[in-house]
Amino acid sequence: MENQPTTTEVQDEIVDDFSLFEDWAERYRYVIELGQKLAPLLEEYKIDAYKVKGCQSQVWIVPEFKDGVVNLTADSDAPTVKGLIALLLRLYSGRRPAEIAATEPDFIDRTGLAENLSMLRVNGMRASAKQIKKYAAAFENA
Amino acid sequence: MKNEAAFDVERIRQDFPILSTQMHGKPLVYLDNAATTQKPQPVIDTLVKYYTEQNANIHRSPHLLAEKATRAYEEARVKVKNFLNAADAHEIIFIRNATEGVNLVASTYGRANVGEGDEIIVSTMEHHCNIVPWQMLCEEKGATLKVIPINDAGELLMDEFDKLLSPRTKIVAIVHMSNVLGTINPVEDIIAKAHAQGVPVLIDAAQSAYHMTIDVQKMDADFLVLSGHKLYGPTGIGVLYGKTRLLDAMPPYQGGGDMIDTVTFEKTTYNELPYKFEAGTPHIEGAAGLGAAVDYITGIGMDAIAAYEHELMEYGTQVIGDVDGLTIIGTAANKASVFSFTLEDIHPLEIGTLLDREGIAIRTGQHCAHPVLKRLGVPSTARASLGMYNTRAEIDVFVDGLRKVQKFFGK
Repeated sequence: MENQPTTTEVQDEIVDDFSLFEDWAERYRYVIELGQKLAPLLEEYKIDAYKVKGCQSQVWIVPEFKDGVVNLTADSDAPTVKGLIALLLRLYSGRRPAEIAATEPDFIDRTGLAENLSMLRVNGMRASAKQIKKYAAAFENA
Repeated sequence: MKNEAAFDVERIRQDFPILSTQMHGKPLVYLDNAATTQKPQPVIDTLVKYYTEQNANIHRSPHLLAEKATRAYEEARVKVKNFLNAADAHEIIFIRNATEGVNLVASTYGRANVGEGDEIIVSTMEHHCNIVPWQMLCEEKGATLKVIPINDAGELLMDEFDKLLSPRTKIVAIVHMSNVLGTINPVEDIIAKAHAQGVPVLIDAAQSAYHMTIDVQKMDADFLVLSGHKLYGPTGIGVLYGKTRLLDAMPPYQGGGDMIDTVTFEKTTYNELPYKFEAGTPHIEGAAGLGAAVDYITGIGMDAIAAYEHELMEYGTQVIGDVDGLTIIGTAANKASVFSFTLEDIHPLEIGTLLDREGIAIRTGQHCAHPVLKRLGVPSTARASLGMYNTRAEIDVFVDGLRKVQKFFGK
């Protein structure tokens, strides 16, 4: 964990990555690519217990608490949603519960994702971040 | 063809200012009418006029302004009464939306008449608004919800309905037109069969009311609900129609001002219809706006609208069906104005997002009707839905948009 960048650094990186794109279609394609790179989730984990409540697409986030850090795997049936979840995993996965609890996903606003993607998806993303924090809180109190 | 001459869609489009706006730099192609319809200028003008010339509280104060506001509100009730061909204006209760109408009937008629072991019949294709209030009532009373199944085309299995009707049935609540499939259900037949057993029927006309003529007396509906915003009127105003005999016997829904006759701390007596069910200051300008919408529709003629939309739907079915890999969900013989579909394995959310960049507005998801999608085995759909102002050219833009979506995903 010594070499792990801080959550602030990760969020700055994400913001930088998105600033490279000039138009909407490029950003959209990039988000889809992020999702495609995410390791697929085993079917056995695609159950209601891991599901993030949302009307438009299905999202599952699975936590594993090991050696004091929360490792996250996730999936969605919608390509862009999967890409956005990949960003959340980049920020939160492999961190201590306290760090997760203290980190707000401000890159969502700073990247302009909030303006570029519909409110529906941004709300889904915030709901996913909340679920990750809930997992972290449970591990912290365990 | 003779209807097309009478129905000038370009003229109608000019009445809807929002239709000449742009989204993401492209002309708006609004195909989300099943979610809500756009508003013609006379409706917008009525709302502005209300607040510039007529605003006061209704039914009480003795001044001229209050008289103007009361008149705006009550004249709208008469317009809706004529629109639905109700027997009396007091059978028209102003509410917020169709959802509130179902809740009102479930909470009043339902609570008073449904008991333990009783049954309520709905169908697989109901919107959640016509499922959940009945479920809540069933839980409270120990009653059971019975569900009419559908076939793969999205049509009710009427034989199964016959079997479900029993001496335990206390109410049948059925959607007139499905918001997901476009299916138009044989409500007259359902009502006749239910009445033969002495069972009242509630019709959810939220989707049908802006596509076809509704005659509550001919239909013989006991209750009928609709939302103003789907009828080219404002949001926040809806209608519950009920037969006088039933409404009179029902307890009030909410308590408060305007719904009372006399109030003492010992006992309150209730106002007469329709005020018994309209507690508190209502959505006065919304009702006036709905009246203007009804005038607008009536001015064009519901039959002309239905004929035009039918012709448009047939054109759409043909050209949309020609898109490779597209599957239309809901292929009932009797349907109107709704295209639910899947496009290969492209997630509906991505279809909706990419079409939006082309200025095309559609709905994606589960359409507040989870059970029907589960029955048909699709997790979610994209849905394009027509209104009276849509054109063949817009359907062509939509089909082009679908092909662009396919190209984007390399199909």
